[in-house]
Amino acid sequence: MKKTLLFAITISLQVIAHAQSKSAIKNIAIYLQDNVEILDFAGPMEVFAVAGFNVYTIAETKEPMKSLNVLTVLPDYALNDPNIPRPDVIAFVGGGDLSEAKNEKVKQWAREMASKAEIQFSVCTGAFFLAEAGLLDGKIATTFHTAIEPLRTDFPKIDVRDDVRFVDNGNLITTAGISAGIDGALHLVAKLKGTKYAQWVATEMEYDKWVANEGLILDNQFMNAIRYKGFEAASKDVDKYSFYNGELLNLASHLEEHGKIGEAQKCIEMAISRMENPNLRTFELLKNIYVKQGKSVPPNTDDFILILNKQGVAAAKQMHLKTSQEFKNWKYLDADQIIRTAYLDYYNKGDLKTAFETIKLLDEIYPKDAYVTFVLGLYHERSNDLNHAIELYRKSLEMDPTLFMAQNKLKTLEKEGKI
Amino acid sequence: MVFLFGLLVFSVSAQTKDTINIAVFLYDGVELLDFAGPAEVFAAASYYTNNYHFNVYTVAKESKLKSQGFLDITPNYSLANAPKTDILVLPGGNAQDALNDTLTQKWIDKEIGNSSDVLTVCSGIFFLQESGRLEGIEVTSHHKILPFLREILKPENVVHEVKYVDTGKIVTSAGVSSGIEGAFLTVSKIAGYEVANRTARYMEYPQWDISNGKITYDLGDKASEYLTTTNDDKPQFGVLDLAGHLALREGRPEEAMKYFERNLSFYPKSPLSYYGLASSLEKMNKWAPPVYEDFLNVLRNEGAQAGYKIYQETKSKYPSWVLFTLKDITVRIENLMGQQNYEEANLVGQMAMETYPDNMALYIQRINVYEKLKDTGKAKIMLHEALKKFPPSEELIQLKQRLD
Repeated sequence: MKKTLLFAITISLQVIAHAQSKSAIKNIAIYLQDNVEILDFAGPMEVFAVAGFNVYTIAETKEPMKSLNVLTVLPDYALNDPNIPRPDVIAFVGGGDLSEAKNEKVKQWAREMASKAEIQFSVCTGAFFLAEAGLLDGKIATTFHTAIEPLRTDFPKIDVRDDVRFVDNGNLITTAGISAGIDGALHLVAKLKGTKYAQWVATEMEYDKWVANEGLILDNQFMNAIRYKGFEAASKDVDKYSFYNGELLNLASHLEEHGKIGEAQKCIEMAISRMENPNLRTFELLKNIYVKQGKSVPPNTDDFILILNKQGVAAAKQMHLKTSQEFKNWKYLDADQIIRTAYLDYYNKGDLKTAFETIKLLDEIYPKDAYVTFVLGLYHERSNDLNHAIELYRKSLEMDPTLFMAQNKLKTLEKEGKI
Repeated sequence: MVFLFGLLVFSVSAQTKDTINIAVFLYDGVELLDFAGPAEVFAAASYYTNNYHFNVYTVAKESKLKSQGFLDITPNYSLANAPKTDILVLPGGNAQDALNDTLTQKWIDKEIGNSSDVLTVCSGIFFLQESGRLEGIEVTSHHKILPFLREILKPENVVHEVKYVDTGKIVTSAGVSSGIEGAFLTVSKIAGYEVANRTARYMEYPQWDISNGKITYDLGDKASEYLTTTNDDKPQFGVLDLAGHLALREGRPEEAMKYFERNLSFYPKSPLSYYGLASSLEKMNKWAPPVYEDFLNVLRNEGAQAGYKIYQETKSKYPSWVLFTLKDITVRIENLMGQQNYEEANLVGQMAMETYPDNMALYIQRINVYEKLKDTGKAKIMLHEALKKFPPSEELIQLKQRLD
């Protein structure tokens, strides 16, 4: 019982990353100064990791460093390491030794990283790093409540606000103190991948305090153009604008609420076309639109599980074949949910044959899903087909190098001398 | 940038506080926010209590580990050399290996025995399952884990839709970020309700409220044991304080006052007890002196004279009432001297010394103020008193040489 149970927990919490595709924004670098506040980096890091980003830490040196005098962290890279992956987002967090923000070497580096990264992000007094590097000049920003006045006084070129949880200038986001970093990070996820997706991340983390858009968000010009000129006219000049898929999806929800179903559909379709591997939640937005238009839509995961249970795997497969012909390239099934409910159910009941057929079918539907591949590997390991299992673990890791359950498995097998 | 984290003003050096050892147990695969949340809360809360030093440290079997597959951590202690635990934090994550490890389970069992409080977060609850500590108590965990808990425990003992369940010693928190709230609760039980509130405000954590979780026993029962004069065992500060604040919330200020007054007898001059007392008086529509930083704000914003008026009124209405901590008032005097406002520094010094008559540093501070006011006579008188009262320290001798 215990094994199965833990197995289930692992599913629910550890490997959420698989659900999210790669998008243009992938690497998030977090700079850690000495004695940095724990939650300042841990909060956003948790959010970004759950949302499927690749997060890593950088400090002045690679020496072990203390966070809030408590936690000893080993940074992934030193400031001058030539192997630092090019960040898409550079984040500075608060607390600790802020004199580092005044250090010329750090300033220089911050400017360099900020110019490489598409988005600059700060939590709490991390804003001083961006400010010292001159990156907040002429921008609207916020910081920790006791640091508002000093930021204002020291940097008169910054419009410092004291009544907001975060400020989003487009490519530059600053948040208020400590916990506000979680909200700011969720906002960034909403901006990149859509509010629905960010809400799912918040639910996974059981952070029920997040309210979407509860911050100062400067208008995006492309979104405004769609809103006021209409999608067709606006999209003619699409190359002139900088914007993110999440912004398109959020605008779509707004348009849908105001009865502009056709416009909303175009926004969602544009977002999907720009995504390397659009996620289930994005297709669900499109599905809502189809329903409103009276069009037929793919079945949902619950329908699929019902057919699995009532009519068997073959019928479910049939259903999928039919659906995938009608809705090409749609993602309509939540593999996670099917594993969690149907697969585990069969497994727990001792119906290993159906469990196996179910995970095989999922593998056919999502051949590139690292997590499905991993679970298939688990099945093989339990059936004592170790070679096959190892092969599948490795394959799942190739698909998603951050799938640490697979890393763990391989490491354990190695330790046991089975590899 | 000296301004940052101004909360340090409230801190008192660790030596004068009771140390509470908080072991945050880590393992390869531990979920980051599961342990980082509580670690942040306890470490920050330490600055807001005059009574406790929360000594937060990490313990693991591994000498180096990866949290959630991406953050490298060196634990402060191994299982073999970790100090005796007062509060044990058991975070969730990819815990298979740790759960299957006999040494780990042994250490956890031993430290649960040593601890007064155990806080689990998310799937960390399974560390308690092994040793049967979940039998017969109400618990919670991550929403996706609850259905599984219902299979192995009595379904009615699995609580949904709460941030934590407090059964006395064992507090189980819901998923990931919920550990933050479980930690706030634990802080309030030990160091007092207002310490948790202030920590939450410092962390800019939205809407922390004790009722976000479920407490399965009556806090008042435990607190009332200490109301009788025969019971002189000193409870942790939070026991009476929390009961007082809950009574206040439920509209029973008279009862609340009893808890706060009793707590004051255990923790004399505690600004937090005065905070509770003042809140109770206000609820009873009686005049209450400004407390905690409210009085300091009067000094800062309206001047020493305005503060002195309140000080006198307080003395006439509530003779034993203490308006400020020694630390805070000393800092205030220093600040006034820095501003070369010696008249006010003198007046504040007078209030400080009447409240804390046995503090040598205050004497020295006041002598310095008299010197600045060019009142050598008074400086000498004060020095004379100090020399009678305290053993001759180097500082006093130097002052004497200078004044002579």
